[in-house]
Order: sequence, then C-alpha cells, then structure tokens
Amino acid sequence: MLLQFYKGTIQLQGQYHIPNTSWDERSHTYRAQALYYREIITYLKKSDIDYIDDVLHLIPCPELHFSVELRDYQKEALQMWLKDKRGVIVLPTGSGKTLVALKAIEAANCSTLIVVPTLDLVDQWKENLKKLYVSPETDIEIGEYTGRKKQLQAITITTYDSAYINAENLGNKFKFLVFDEVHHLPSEGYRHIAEMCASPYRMGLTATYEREDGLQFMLPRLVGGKVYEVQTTELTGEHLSEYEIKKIKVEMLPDEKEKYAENMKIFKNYIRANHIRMRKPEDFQKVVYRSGYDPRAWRAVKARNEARKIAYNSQSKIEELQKLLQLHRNDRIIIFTRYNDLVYYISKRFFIPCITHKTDKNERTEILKKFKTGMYTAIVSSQVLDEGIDVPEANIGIILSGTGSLREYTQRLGRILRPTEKKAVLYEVISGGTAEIRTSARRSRKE
Amino acid sequence: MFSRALLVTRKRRPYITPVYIHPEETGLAEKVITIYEKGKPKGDIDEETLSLETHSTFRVVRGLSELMRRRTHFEESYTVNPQKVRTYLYEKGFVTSEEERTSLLLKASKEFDVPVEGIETSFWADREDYQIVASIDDIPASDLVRYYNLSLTQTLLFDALSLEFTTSGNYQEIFRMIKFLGLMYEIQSEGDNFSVRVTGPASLFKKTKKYGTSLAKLVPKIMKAPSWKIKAQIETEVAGEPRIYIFELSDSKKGFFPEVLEDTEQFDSAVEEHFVKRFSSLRKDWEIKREPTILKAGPSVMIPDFSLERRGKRCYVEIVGFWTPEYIEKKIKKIQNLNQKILLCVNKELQCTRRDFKENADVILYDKEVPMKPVLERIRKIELEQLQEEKGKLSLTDIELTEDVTLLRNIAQVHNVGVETAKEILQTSDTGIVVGDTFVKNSVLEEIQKRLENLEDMRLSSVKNVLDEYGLNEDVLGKLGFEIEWKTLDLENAVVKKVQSGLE
Repeated sequence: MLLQFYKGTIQLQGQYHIPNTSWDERSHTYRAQALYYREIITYLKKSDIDYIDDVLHLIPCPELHFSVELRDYQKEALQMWLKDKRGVIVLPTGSGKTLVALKAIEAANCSTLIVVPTLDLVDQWKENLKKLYVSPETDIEIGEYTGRKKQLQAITITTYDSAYINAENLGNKFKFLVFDEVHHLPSEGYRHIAEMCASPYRMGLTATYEREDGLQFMLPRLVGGKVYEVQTTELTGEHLSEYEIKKIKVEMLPDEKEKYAENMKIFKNYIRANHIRMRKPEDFQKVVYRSGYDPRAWRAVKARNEARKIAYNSQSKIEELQKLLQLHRNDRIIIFTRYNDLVYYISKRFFIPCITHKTDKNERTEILKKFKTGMYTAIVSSQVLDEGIDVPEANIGIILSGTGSLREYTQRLGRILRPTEKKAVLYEVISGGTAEIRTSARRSRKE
Repeated sequence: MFSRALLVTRKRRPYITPVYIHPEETGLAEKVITIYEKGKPKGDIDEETLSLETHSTFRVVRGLSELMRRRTHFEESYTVNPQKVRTYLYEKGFVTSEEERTSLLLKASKEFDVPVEGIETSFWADREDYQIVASIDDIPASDLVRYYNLSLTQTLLFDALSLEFTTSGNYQEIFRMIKFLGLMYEIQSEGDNFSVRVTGPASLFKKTKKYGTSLAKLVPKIMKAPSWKIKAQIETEVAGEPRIYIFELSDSKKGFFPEVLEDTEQFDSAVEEHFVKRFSSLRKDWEIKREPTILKAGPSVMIPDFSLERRGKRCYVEIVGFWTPEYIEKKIKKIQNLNQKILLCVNKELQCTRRDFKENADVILYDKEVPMKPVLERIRKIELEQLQEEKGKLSLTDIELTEDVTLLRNIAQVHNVGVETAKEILQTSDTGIVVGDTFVKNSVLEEIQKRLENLEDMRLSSVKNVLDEYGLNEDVLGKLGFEIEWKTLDLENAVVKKVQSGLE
C-alpha cells in the first residue's frame, strides 16, 4: 500500500480495503480522514501488510527542553497523558495548564502545532515558549500561523479560525497537536481541524470539559478521552486564592426605567401573543429566527436588545462603580463589562486604562505592564480577557454585565483568583427588576 | 462575499435562491452611496446606515454598505496624539468625582497646550469610529448592485455541499483554480456535453460545508466563460432541521452580475501563438479553437491547447513545451488514460521518445517552432478519411441535377459533404462532366460545341462571350476539342482552333 496525504485526507493506493477507509471514484484510490492515520498504520502493522508511508512531511525539529518544574498534580496529569499520548486534561484556570503542555512537548520532542482561541493567547503562548525554552546551542523560533502572520516552525501556534481554514495544508506537518481550551473543538467547523490532521499525538486542555450543547462526546474521537481532571474546589486554598462574591442590585434611573419598561413591553407582548415560553437561551434564538420573516418579531427583538442595553449601561451602575472605586482606592481592580461602548465610556469618565479587542497591541502590552508594576491600579475591559490571557494579579473584580454562560463565569473568576495578600472580592453589579437578574441567578445555580 | 448574517434568500422547495436586486432598481444603492461622503467619521456612517434599515431591508442595506466600505479609505484626524493624552491621564491615577476629573483635564490642557475641549476630543480620536473618510473609489449604483448580487451568490455558496457546472470555455483558469483550492471533481459527459461536479477531498466521508468558501471562489471564474450554468446543493435550516436545497443559476442572468472583461487572447508561449497564425493562414477551411473542451483522462481531466475542426471532424493538438520532469510524467499518464486521439507536439529538449506516449498519441517533435508539414500531413490523412466516409454515404443517384451547369460547392452544401467528395462522385457520372468547379450536362456541351463550330469570329474574346452565357469559362474548351492559340500575350490576338473531333 502507498499512503499519501492529500488535503486533509489520506490517499491509499493498493489492493487492501482497510478499516476507516472508503473507495474514492474521483481519484481511483482509497481515502481516509487524516484523523485515522495512527489507527491505519497500527492496522497495517498488525496485519503484516507491506506499505510505504508518505503521509507525514514533518517540519524539522530541534531538541526541545523547557525549564519548568511541575507541581504534583501537574506531574500526575502529564503521566496520565503520556500513557497513550492522546487525551484531554481538565484543570482549573490559573493552575498552570500551559506548563503541563510544555512538558508534554518536551517528552514528545517533535514538531508541534498549538491551537488556541484568540490572538492574545497566541502571543501569550509564544512568550511562554520563548521564555522557558532552554538549549545550550540554539535559540528557538516559534512559528505563528494566523490571519496576521504565516510562518511555520517546529513549534507553531495558530488560532482555531486559521487552523480551520488551513487544516488541509497543515495536517501532515506536525506530529503533535495541542488544543488549548479544547471545549471549542467540537463546534461544527472546528471539528475539521482534528479530522484533517494526521498528527498521531494529541492533547486537549480545558477548565470546562462540559459544553452546553453536549458536544463534548466527540472529544474522545477527536483528541482522545479525558485522562485527568481536577476541580476548582480541590485546588482552592492550596494553589488558588479564596474569594467572596458580592451581588449589588441597583435601581435604574426613572427615565431609564421608563424606557426599559417600554421596550420590554413590546417584546413581552409579542411573546405572549405568539405563545412562546422563554426558558432557555435557545428560546430567544427562536424569536430571532422568526424575525427573519415576521416584522413584528424583528421589532420585538430590536426592543429587547434596546432594553438590555439600557439595563447594562444604566447610569446608576456607573454611580455604583464610582462608589466602589472610592472604596477600593488602594486595591488592584479589574472591571469587566460586555459592551465596548461602556468600556470606552468608563475609561474616559474615570481615566481608567481600557483594553478591548480593538486595542492596539503595543498599547495593551504597555497597559498590562504598568498594571503589573503598580503604576496603574485599575483596568477596564470587555471580553478579550476572557480566556487565559496573562492578566496581572488583582484582588477586586467588578462585573458590570455578563452573558450568563457557565464557562464565562468560571473563567472570569479565574482571572481574579490569583494569590495576593488580600482576600479577593468579586462584585457583580446588576440592575434590579430586569431580565438581568435572571441571567445572574441562572449562573449561580449552575455553579 | 458577506458574512452569513447578511444573506437574503427565497426558498421554494426544493429550490433556494438569493434575493437579487435588479440592476435597474438602484434606489437603495443610491441612498447607501450618498452616505459615504469625504470627511465623514466612520461612526456617523454606521449610524446613518442603521437609520436606513427597516425590517425588510436591513440585510440589504448592510450588504450594500459593506461593499461601499471596502471601497472607502479612512484616516485618523486629531489635534493632540490620542495615545499620549490617554497615557498622561491614566498615569495620574483614576478619578472618582467630577471635580477631580475637571482639574485633571485642566492640567492636561496646560501640558499639551490645547483647550480642554481639544483634550476631550482627542482622547479617542484614534479609535476606528472616529476615523474620517479620506477617499472613496466611486461606483455607479447599478454596478454596486451587481457586485451585491455576486457577493450574495457567493455567500449562499458558503453553505454548499457540492457544486456542478457546465461552461463553454475558460477551462484552464477554472481547473487551475479547482486545483489551487484543493478541491476535487468528477466529469459526467454525454457526447460533446459534459458537466463537472466539484467537491472536496473530505466530502467522501460526510456531506460537509467545509468547502463552501472555496466553491464560492470558483464562481467568478465560471462566470467568465461565454456561457455557463451552475447548480449547487445548499445545506439550509428549515424548521430547525438541516435540509438540502438546490440553487441554480445560468448566464441568462448575466446582466445581474459584474461584467467580466474577457482576457485578451493570451498564449502560454510564442510557439503556440505562431502555430495558430501559421495554421490558419495555410488552411482557411479548417477552424482552429483554443481550449476547445475538456477531455476525460482517467479520473482527471485534460484540456487540450487546440482543436482543428472541419465539418464535424476534429483533431486535438497539445503543445508540450519545456517544463519539469514531474509535469511531463503527469502529462504522459494523462494522455495514456485518454480515450481520444490527440496530436502531441513535443519539444525535443524534453528527452521524451514517441514510445513514452503510447498508441493514443501521435507525436511530432519540434525544435523552435512546430513544423507545419507533418501537421498538414495529419490533416490530409483526416481529409482522406472523411472523403472515403462521405463517398460511402452519398451515391450518384442521390444527387439531383436540374440545372444545365451546377457549381460543385452548391452540391456539396446541399448534401453536407466536401467539394472534393462531390467532385469525385460526379466524375463517375455519364450524364455530364466536371469542368473546374462546375458540373456540366452533356446536352449543354453538345449545344456549345455546335455553336462554336458555326461561329465565324473565332477570336478568344468572342468565344468567351458564348461561354459566359452558360456560366462557363475557357477551361471547357479542351473538353470540346478546341485549343487556344496565343499569338501574342494580347487577349485580342488569341484565336480558338479546332484540334480534334471533340465529344465522343
């Protein structure tokens, strides 16, 4: 048999029909998803079938060593993974998942593609890899394959989006695949990344294995099953700091209330008239779907969004924020809000440095650096700090708005829960008598 | 191409189609175009776009605006460097009251030597929303609409599972693009008609939208052909379930899309260009076509460089210039798989031998230019073949001769055969003879002979007058037993004489 990689698939020429392959009339060969490369080779070996393996065209790789000292639970996680060099490690945010991955890369000692959700994480991984790489002879160049840069090296970092678009060309160049925040992988598109890569070694990292849509059942096929898991509670007090949640309910200003009620009424009337019950987020999606053909639904959705915006952006929240800022003059504060507009408003109103996904990279680095050194004592940000960005330690978190998803909640908590001398406090500022209460309540219950 | 959110479609089971704007209905497009004005901040443009939106048009408005945005260049504009202003203010620590804020602003105003107002407006001036329109690449509303229609079509194809097309040309570019995009194809052919079904490698395992974006990129190339038709399977959600709908489009809607300028004839090499020039000047009765069709070569396709055609007879020509060994290897394999005859003109430097190409190929080796002689020999062979075939098809009794004198090419045309064929068949007739490019009946010949024998003035010019009446020329004289005697080169002095008894 001759095995060749073709655009995210493996083409097999020969007489044998091997499991996981299908006949392709278009090329007059057998064909398999690249994902099954390891299984196919195992099968061929076991069955004593002669074959020529021309699948992997790996990027030449130097000896890989990282100066990392693992904690006990990290060592355990690594050991479990090394048994099959496949599988997902579940560790809470802030517990050093990256370090486990670096040691795994060292153990595998081969060309590696690291897939991460955001450009921020690309930068952060790059920095960590460079910082911790040790070798007597050479420096290591870390590759980046993203929308802004296309450079392949023995260790290359890419985003889920770029990897999805380019999987058919990247799929045979790396022996090892690392998926950071692997809970993204089962999404309909991203799945192809795992399917179109032949890489025999795979690792997934996440703090939240479960997905709300239940698609985590695909992970065992795509990267291997869960090989190690530690819950947040098991690590609290040992490696993560304790924290306290304080919910603050604020009343909207009278005119805001009026506008809010007006808009909510339009929405509620529509719901009632059409006998729709709002229980899950998907229920709202149904209304959005209806808005495609029903003008009244369109107006209802518009009104609801307007109402939410009023509640999220309520001036009384700004006043509450002002009070909290006065109270924590001497603390280190990170403020989260969902709307960029609100971030910019807060930044200009209180002169607090802000970071959004649009913030220029140099400016962001400078802001984070100054926050680290203590020159800045507060930062306001929208959702870009969500996943795994290296945020300097803070002991006060203020959430001015939230989307109510379980994952976001834990990861945002993780940002703040870094050991400092002071006990951490997370404030959640919500508008009273609005739909927002329900979002917040739903999250806490699941927690 | 837009984001999926801007797609507007109409579904009528089993068909789905984008809702196109007629290029003459430019009202909305014109409104969108006027929003884009030099000097306007991006934020204002967004707001004005938003205010144009209604329930039924919001996607269209956003789509048109998106296209305009791509034609617009924005620039930052401010009095003090915004980042410097921000850093200055941030470094002073956050403020928690109106008084603190005002006094800090005053400080900044002194520091940067601008009024407080300037500090406030510069604070965010480098943000995208505050950028100003610097220039716009103008476009007529009807063309904006056409680009909108194209983008809409491509956006629909993002959800395509497969794409089928037929075209009447531009094959090279289309198939190069298919290869470049890493797609795969199957050819279904029926006689001279064929359709190409394009999918991706992994489509074999399950229906996937992964290749939708690539399929969308193929569409403008297909639209470049003189005539085209596409048909796609689109995955779309209906009542919460994924369904497959069909999308069809053809050049009958050409006016709805941007006009593609056809490439001026570009040859791959000078060798090809010369080949066309020389052949068409030598054989005007043969038609030479570039990239005439696609030929099935095993699982893949071959696009011959030329076809030479005459009355349904065809010969494909492929000129193989200098390239890499892998290229030649592939080409040889393709030609071996071909179930069509093809004339290969191979550069001598390639070090191939005729044997490399097996029996389906007829190989001419060339040095600097493709030699015409062997090409014409091949053509002659085809002509002779055709002559034999036509002679077998047509017999003398099929030909009805009503006129006294008939042009051979008229007979050929009526019976759809070559002039040569008509001539050879009529030469076997005993009711008349072939003279030059005509067939003349015996009765007419006898009449002419009699008239000439009785003619007193035997000068050529007066003999010609008689022949003219029958639509004949002096070529017929020999057949009648006459000869022209040239005394000088002057026509007036030439005399026609009887040399033998003539018609037997």
